[in-house]
Amino acid sequence: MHLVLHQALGGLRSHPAVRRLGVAGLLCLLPLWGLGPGTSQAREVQDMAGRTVAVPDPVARPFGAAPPLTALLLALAPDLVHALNMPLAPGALDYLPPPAAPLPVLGSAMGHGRQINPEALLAVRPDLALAWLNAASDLDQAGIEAPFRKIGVPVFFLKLDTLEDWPAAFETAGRLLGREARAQALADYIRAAQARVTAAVSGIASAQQVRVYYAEGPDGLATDCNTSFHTEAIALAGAYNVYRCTAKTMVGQERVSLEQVLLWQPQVLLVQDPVFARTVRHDPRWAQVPAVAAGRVIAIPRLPLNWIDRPPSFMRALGIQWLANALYPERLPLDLEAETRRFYTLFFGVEPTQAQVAALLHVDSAGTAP
Amino acid sequence: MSRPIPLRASALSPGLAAAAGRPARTAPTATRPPVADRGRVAESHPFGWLLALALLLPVAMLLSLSYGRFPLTPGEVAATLMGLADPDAGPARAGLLQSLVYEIRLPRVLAAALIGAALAASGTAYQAVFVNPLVSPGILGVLAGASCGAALGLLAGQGWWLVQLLSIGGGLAAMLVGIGIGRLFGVQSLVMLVLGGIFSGALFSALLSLVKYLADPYEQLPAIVYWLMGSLGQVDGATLWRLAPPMLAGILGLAVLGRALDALAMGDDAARSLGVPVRAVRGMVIGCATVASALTVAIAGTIGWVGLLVPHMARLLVGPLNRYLVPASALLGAVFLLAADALARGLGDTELPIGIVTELVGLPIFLLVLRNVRRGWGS
Repeated sequence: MHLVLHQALGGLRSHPAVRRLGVAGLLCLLPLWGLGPGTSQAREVQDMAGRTVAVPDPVARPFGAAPPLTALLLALAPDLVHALNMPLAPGALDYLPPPAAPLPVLGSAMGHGRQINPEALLAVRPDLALAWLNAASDLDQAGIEAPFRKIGVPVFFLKLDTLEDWPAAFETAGRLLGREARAQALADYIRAAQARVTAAVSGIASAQQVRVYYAEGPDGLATDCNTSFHTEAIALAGAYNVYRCTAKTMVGQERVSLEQVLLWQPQVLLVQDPVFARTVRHDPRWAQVPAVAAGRVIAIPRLPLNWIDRPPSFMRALGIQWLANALYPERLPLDLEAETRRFYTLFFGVEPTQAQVAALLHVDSAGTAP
Repeated sequence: MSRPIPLRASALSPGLAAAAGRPARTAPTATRPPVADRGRVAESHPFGWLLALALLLPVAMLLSLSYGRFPLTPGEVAATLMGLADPDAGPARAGLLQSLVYEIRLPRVLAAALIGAALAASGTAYQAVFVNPLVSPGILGVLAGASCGAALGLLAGQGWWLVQLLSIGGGLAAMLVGIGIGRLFGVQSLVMLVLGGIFSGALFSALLSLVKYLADPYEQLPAIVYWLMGSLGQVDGATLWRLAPPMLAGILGLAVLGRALDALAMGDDAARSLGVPVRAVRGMVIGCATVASALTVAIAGTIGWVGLLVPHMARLLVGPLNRYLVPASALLGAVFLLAADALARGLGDTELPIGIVTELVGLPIFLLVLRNVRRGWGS
């Protein structure tokens, strides 16, 4: 049925009269494009997938095709963000510059979650889609491009597999958007932060590394492999992820049993779900896990974006400093509050208050951070 | 008298008729089973099997308790269970043992047994009420409703209590929608009830898909997907303490109603003439089975096949009489789920969702059962 329809449509499309109509239809749309701020010339640029893309110069209305790209835009050029892939976390707007207009949620092109409706996308008049070149992606490049090809929006791939890829991605995007100076500042921060943390923790013998269990999900019994891109920040901070394996899927969150966690004897629990981070301290089932017995349960700050993972973003530049400091305070001394304020001011242009920083770090609910 | 469901339990009737001291011919379509088989079913000793299953269950639970990823000897488990601390072990080891046995394994084992029993007993009861061997606990949309509620709870991210509450609420809502649709058309018939159930199941499946679609693909979606595959890993004592009593009440209620179900199987009119309040019995059975099966989703997500497969296995053992079949199903279901859970947690570092295990293991067993099933459910 589907196929028949497809063929019928294909036949129609190849009919010369219809083709002429299609061109006429596109011509009708041209005035719409004129509404965009500053019609611009195109130039040919090579993206990180090695494709040559004709992009407007400069790009005025970029669209992030997956959450990490939208995160990148939120930091680099918040005034150019006109749509989101998924709703912001509740409370996230307190840490972001107020958007000029409410941001519609349009979905993403990465194979899961909300899918993009090309017509809804057309309504925000993007002139370039920034897409995620991800080695573990569920979709191939053609699949990611598909919704954009339908509406004639060029797709530019940025490689964002590791934190190390982010500075280059910022610089490339900065050139596309004409925001080179800001991109440079953000890239420099990430490079410096990573270099600093690496220098501090690289000398630790693997036997001396703190054993960390990365607890995800509302029951804390989902986790990710040590080699997964989801757990990169844990490795960068010099910790030993107790779950040793190669990730099976992009989504991750593999289920493990509590007995397995006990066998791993983690010294620290790194927790995603704030409710679980609160309840696990009093949960008799977890009482014998060394990390819980020692009170070393760390809840990951998650506003406006997660510091460690989901989405994996530039926030890890702050996340690895925070984590390395929590695990090895003598190796990486850090004025966490000042650094947090500096990071938020630089990346989001909003300086959080003392109370906001405290709320971020969960010091209100967790008692003392380890 | 009208029997709206075409697939019917002809074999139920001869057994019942024998029990009621009437000739088997009262069942109009009773062409099977052949006399020899019927004799065997009638002469097998349901009580013997019930006793054997009742003894098997504690054995299976003890075996489950001494099995897990953390290496413990059965001796250590037994000593901990009896409250005997090993004098040689330090207090750290004693605390670990206490935690492993009482906090981690015991709730899990009890939950597996309860859930298996609840699903199997509800399946049996539904099969009897609808006079149809293909019915499973999902027939009235209860499981879809409970799953949808649980997914909503996971979306809200406020902790387990909300997931459980919404799951139970979803299950009850789905049952009410199903029955309400049946009532809407005024006809008091099983067909309308089944159609209402299909409606409600479809409605809540669609709502569940909507919830999944709207969920955050990074954190919430995987949690929901895993929940829908079933897991006993997150069961804790407090949850069990709260939810086990109503579940047990549901299972016991179904077991007690077995005799009335036997009367119902002879047809509404015949049952009425025996003084059985047909509508009340049907309502109570549906109520008990709904509560019991909705609670399984609240505790461990959706676990498929147990409610369809185990009643057939039990029928091979104790015959078609519901007064024996419901308790036998419950016991066998408990043992079955204990075994499935042992597989789920023993295969590797990661846990296989138990719903996958019950389906993969259940399907070949179902084929084996089908070979023999004609004896119990001739057509």
